Amino acid sequence: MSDAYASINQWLSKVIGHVRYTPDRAAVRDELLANYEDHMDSLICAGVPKDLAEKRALEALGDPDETGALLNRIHSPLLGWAYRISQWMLCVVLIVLVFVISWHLFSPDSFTNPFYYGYPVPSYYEEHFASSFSAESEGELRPTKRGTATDGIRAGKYSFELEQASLKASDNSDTGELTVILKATAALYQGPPHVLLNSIYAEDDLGNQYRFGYAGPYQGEFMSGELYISLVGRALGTYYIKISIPSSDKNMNWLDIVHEKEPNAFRLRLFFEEVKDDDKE
Amino acid sequence: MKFDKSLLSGSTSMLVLSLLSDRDKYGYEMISQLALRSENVFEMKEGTLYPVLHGLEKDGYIQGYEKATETGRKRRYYHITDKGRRQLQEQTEQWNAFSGAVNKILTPSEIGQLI
Repeated sequence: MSDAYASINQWLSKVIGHVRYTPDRAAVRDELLANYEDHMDSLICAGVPKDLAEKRALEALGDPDETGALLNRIHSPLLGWAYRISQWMLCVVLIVLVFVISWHLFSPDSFTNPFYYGYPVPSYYEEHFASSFSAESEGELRPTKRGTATDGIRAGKYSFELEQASLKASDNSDTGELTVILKATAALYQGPPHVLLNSIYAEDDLGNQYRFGYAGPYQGEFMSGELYISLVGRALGTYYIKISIPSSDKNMNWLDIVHEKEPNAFRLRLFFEEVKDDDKE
Repeated sequence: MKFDKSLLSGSTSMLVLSLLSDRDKYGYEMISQLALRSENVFEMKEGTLYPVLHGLEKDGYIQGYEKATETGRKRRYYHITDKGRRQLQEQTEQWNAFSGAVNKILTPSEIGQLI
């Protein structure tokens, strides 16, 4: 390395020593070095001897302390780091966003990836879901009838299909506990079908009507029973609705689950058949 | 002729924007052109050009980018932005009004001495 280069290195070191925002130092150094080399080359091309060209190019750069101090004002560490940290934070936010969206979009519609209204839930929720959202959870009574539906139905922006329907009753009572689990699906952005829930009712082939338990008497008519509804989201766009009728007529052959209000009106008919002794377990 | 530094410093950003108004240039090219066009009247210390360039870039008047030469040397070129062009126009108008007013005050003999 020639003496002049040692000097330009010293000159550059002095300049960048003033620049407190360290990530910018390399670029500043490279740019000033390129200026020095350009000037030196032009002098050599003009016939100036190399040693003299190096000396004059270095002198032309001026006072390194003055240049360094001016550069330090522009490359403020406060603004520089604030900008850099904001970029890192933006990256973190984007990564989290991509992760959350992927989880929502690609999560399998299964019990292994639970959501409650779109939010991840703790692991104990699985047990709660498994026990609560089953038409045949453990209990003293055994299922005497099971319901089926021919097809799923569409109601406005939601599609419904029957997951489970089970009627449990004892021999010495006319009433039984009926539980129906419906699966509702909708577009991701649609949200859960809350609006439907408090105006759903059910009626069976024996003339019994079952109204939403918290709605009070329906148009002054006598109600032979009440139904209760709970809803859970399993993934965005997929929801499970549990309809419980604690005091239903155990002799029913079919049950219509009805929602009359547009635009989500539907009527889903469930046919009930006796459970054979072999199937009761 | 030696100039008072403050005369040049106030107008350096305008001169730089003006140099970039026809095409993109790198640092040393601007310094050479400045000296050539002013017939060596404006010979600034080369190191002090870069704080001016970086300040203009920070304000969004120019934009820097790297480009390699045929010999492989990397140079940082600067490009004037639309905001920079508007700033140049504004500064030029201010300068014309200012220099016109100064010339009106100075007597013809003083101007003759200056020239």
